[in-house]
Amino acid sequence: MGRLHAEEMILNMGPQHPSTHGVLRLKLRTDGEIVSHIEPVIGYLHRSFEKHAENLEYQMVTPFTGRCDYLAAMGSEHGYAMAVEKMLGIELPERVEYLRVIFAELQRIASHLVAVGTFGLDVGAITPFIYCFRERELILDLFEMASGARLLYNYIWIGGLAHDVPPGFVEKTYEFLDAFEKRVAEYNQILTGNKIFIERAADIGVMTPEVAINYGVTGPSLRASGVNIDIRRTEPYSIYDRFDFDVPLGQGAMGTVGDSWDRYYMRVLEMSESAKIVRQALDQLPVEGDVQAAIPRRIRPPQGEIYFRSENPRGELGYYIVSDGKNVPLRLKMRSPAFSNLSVINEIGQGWMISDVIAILGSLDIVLGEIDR
Amino acid sequence: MSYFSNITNAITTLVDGMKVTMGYFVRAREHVTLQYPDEVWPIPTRNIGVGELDSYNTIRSKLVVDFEDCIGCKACERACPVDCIHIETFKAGPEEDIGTTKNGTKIKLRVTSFTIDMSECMFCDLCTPPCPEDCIRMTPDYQFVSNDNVKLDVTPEERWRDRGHLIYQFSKVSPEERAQRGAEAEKEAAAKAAALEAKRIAAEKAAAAKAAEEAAQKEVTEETQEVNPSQNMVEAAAAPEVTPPQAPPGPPTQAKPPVEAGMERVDLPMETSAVPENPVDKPVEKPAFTETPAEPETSTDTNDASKGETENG
Amino acid sequence: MIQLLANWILSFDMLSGMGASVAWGLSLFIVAALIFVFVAVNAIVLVYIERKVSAFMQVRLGPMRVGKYGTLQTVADALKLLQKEDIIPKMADKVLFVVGPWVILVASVVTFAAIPFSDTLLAANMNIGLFYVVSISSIVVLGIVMAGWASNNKWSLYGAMRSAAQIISYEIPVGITLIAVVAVVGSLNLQTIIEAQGGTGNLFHWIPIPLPNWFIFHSPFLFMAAFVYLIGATAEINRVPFDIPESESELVAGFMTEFSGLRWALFFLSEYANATLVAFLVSIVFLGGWQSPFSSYQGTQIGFSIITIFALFWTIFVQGKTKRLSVYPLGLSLVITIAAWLFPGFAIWMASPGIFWMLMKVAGIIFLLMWFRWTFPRLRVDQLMYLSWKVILPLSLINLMGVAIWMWLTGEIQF
Repeated sequence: MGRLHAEEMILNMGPQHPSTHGVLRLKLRTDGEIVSHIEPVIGYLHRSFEKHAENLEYQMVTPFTGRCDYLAAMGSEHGYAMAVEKMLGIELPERVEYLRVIFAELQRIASHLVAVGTFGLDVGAITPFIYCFRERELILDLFEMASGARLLYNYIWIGGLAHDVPPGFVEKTYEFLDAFEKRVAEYNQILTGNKIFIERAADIGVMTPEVAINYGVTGPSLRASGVNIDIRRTEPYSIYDRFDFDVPLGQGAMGTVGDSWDRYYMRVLEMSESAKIVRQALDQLPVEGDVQAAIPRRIRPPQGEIYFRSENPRGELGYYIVSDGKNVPLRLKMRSPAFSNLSVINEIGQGWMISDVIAILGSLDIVLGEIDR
Repeated sequence: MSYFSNITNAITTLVDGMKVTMGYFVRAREHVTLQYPDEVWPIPTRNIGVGELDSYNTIRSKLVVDFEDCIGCKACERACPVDCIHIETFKAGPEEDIGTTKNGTKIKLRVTSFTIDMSECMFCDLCTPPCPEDCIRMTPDYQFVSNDNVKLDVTPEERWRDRGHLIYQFSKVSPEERAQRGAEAEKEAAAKAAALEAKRIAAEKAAAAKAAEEAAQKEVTEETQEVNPSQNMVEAAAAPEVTPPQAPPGPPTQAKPPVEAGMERVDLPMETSAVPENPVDKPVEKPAFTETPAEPETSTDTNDASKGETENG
Repeated sequence: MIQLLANWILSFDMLSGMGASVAWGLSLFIVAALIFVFVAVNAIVLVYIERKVSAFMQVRLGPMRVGKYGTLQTVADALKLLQKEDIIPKMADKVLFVVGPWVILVASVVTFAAIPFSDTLLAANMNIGLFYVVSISSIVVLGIVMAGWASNNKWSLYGAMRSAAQIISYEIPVGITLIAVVAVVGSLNLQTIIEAQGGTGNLFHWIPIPLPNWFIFHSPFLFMAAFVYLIGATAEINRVPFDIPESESELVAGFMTEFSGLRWALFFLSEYANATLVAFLVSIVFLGGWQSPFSSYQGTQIGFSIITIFALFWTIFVQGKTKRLSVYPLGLSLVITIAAWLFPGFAIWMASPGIFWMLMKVAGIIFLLMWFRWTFPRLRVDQLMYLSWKVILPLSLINLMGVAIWMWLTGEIQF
């Protein structure tokens, strides 16, 4: 056996691969099925968002933010709008804040539904994916009702919303929440508790809290490691301090704290928590009110810079904006959560099999539009 | 012992999952599929209060303009983040009466052509709120497909950018007339461009000599950049005999309403430099253009003018 | 069947001059063609059914456009595949690349020679039928490795290696499980195995529930063995949850990655042929093959009455909880029950053995395989091996010993 010579093989996973969630390329160094090194190669979806932003007026940037994280466009728009509003020092009407929270949380549910469904797809379960998308369609219906678009909304504008929600929106949202809470049990029945699924996900790609913090991992992936950081809770923006919700943390129920199953399950739990927030926001929503704060037609924030962060479905979404007093940002930097989350893949994916790398990648829930920007 | 509990656990959970799929299998009538061309998704229709028409809808799809009401203020063109709207105007004569919009505003600029490139549009709806006459709007018509190949009208060489059917041009002026005007104004525009170029070089020299500050240089760039193809055409159209030949010596923006003066788009300097090499587009050579151009709502085929513009954009 | 066909051909005056050996060869060719046609049609039908079943499980509709309810969809797909460009990658091993799919197809088609469709309808009544089927069907792995290696693609190679490891590992528990049945019958002849399952008896010999004498009801061990065999066979034919050789989300398409057009169609053909083969084997070995579940026409009447009562309860208590009732199971069983009571001829036909029962059982098993496929996630390679060597293999060994002890206890054999 001593003379048996085994070489490591470089395996290019992607950019055309069914489960790299877009156009990500992973350079895997493999020894048989075991992966000894992972090198993510990104940039295939680079659309120069930040350079665009430097040449566009502040309002015109909003539709581009939605195109970064296209699965959570409302969240991206919310973060950007809040950042600019903070620069301008605008007070928003109550109704706007509530509606924004409703949309951001519905978007979180929609985004997590995709994450849960595609994670199932990555480990080979096709049917839960379709169920998840069925519920996501219901959320998109609500968004379409309000904004007129199903994926990229451009609905949360600086200083308010594009226009008010239509009559019947609140009732339809309640209807959706009632239906949705039952459906979560179904996902748990078909996927979460499935023994094969647990075998595929539990104890795989364990991310310790130290590793997670060192790599700047945020969002559900960080909380799965047991680190209690949720910007909605730790530094509440908008009106998140008014709602009562739990921040689910990884317990290691099926294996170790911070494994792929925990990261998956965080999203399932957060969907229920988001549904809770939406319900409270709908209960407290002011019936009447303006949806646009008084803002100048030409937005010229005072000279200065700002870093504003918010909790996107994928983690901490930060906008760093430098203004020179003109109506075009001098510099706009987006701190995208999925970029940092992806960077940890080599650390936690080493030594696992090819199938596990797919599962780990799926559990990190990346969106390439946001990584490449 | 965990060996056996694992096996029993596996069997029970797998059977659990199978129950779910079987539950849906026997209730197959609860499907969510829509048979697309026969059944279509119910579009939420609602007047969002932009105008009086019912078609001012939340749904943001095909962008159309009520061409009769357009006053040529170019507010939508400036608001568009992706530059998919291109408007050609020229100033009407003082005694000429073009008409009024539905809001009663007197139209002062003759809009020769209003081109919307739906293949570039990103459906952001930012162009509709600035419109003072509520004449540009997004309609719920989301179906861009056609059963008619002739409608797509693509030559083999251009098949690689097969999007002619996505460019909508609204125009009351016949293409021949526009072409004529364009040809006449071409020389003038070229001369003007040359003059501006000379002016720019002079200014640069002066700036170099004085070691001028950044601001001075920027002003010049802003001036020169106005002579990009789309606006060249504006110039081209603005110069026919109808109007008194009072070609303004300054930057061509002054031929437009004062709103234009507030425009502060910082374009890439590349576009400026591209002007001399890529002169004014020829909006002619389209014998296939047989549809009545006087009909404002007709979405005619692509014009060379719009194609030339999109190449730049 | 071949000999019968040859005799039939020779019985015509016109053809009798051709000689016995020529007639035998001709009938051999006809039978082979018939089997191939069966496999091809079977694949087309099963692809359609699979798409429909998966659609219904996923709250979709599936193919609806080509033909009424999309019935001609797979025909159109097959025609499309035949028209596609024949692509052989530049760096591929051309001979193996061309031969690989055919090896797989031939291996899965040839096995049908020994499969009895009914008491008379079978191509070759072999005394080693079971052994033949199991051994020939494992040639498939050779074709998969050929195809995977020849593609000169890393994903294909991974798929081929996984497939080789998987199929060879699962041969062992599958073989041992089948030996348990052979131990009961004492023959490898598939017809003999089916004939041994005729009649009615008690469940597990002692429990007084009258059930057919199928081997699945023979003893708890054979009951378990049926499921062990089903799991092992599912792994052997690379279906979910054991589809790791072609696992879509990991290996793109595994050993099929570089194939297109006709060759890719051959893979599909053999995949469904293999699934059908497994269903046939399960129904032959454990479910009585072409034997009817009812011993006599009274049995049919009573049996269907019981089924109708079950359907009624299910409709009321299980379906009643959901908003919309599905009354098709109840309605169907009610109609059959009434027909069985009104027309004794129908009841007698139901009680007689034949190809109908064989195909019903096969359809049931195939539906079960589809049900698995559209519910479960996929196992990992090492978990697959764990399942094979540490769970399925010990279980099959226990079954083998258990069956022997059971037969000694029930007095079927004496020492």
